[in-house]
Amino acid sequence: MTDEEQTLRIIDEELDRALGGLSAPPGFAAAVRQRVAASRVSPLPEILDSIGWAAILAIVFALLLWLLPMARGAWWPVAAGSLLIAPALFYGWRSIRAITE
Amino acid sequence: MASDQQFEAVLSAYQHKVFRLCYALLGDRAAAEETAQDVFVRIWKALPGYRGESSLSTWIYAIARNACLTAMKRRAGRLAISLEEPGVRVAAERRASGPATPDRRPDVLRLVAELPENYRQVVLLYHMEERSYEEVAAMLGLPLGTVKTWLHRARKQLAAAMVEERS
Repeated sequence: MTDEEQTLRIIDEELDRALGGLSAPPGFAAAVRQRVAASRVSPLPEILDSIGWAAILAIVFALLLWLLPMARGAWWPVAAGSLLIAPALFYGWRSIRAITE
Repeated sequence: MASDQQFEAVLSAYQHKVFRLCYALLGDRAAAEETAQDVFVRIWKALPGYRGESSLSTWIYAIARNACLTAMKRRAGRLAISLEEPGVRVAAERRASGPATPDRRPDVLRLVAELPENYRQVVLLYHMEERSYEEVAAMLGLPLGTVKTWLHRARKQLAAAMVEERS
């Protein structure tokens, strides 16, 4: 065995000894889970947002009924109100689903 | 939730590999731990969008390398190998106390720390990954030939440095 081969053998042995089997410290996975939990987005703002928009639409609808007496008792204001509220509910549901997935 | 289960499986399978990759790239245990945690938070956020265009390991190692590059930029100007690392600190103290004697254990870790960055990363990973060229190439995103060449040159430099230190 030449001098260089001998030196390389020593280097390999020392590095295997120092670095072989190196692994993540204990508690690493728990720390990751903690950080993941902390960075989860809460659905609460989306829910409050949906309630707020639904309330605004309901007020607009009530005002329209009040301002347009001919709409009272007719079927089309109900259909128009549903058309307004249904997309709001749909988008709210989609947002909540996206952040809780 | 399905993505939570997938994330748990990824965390369990890759935590040590990602930590070792970060350690090889950053050369500092504390920084490697923090960056590896960042890597898994990124993976958790990106996992629902993973469509399998590349293999899972390739995708994870790419995220890890990017996170390490960000960490390196953040601490640019500081030493690549921290003097707080036990091996390096002891080596620095020994160096200060005079040349190594033949009966002492060789300070290979310090010599590795003095290698050019790309050589150092390859050497560290090669020994952490049970001397697998393929694994090192996959983790660093390099061609196998490049890994072999860099490793060969790094070992030559290490051997020369060790001989010089002894004489």
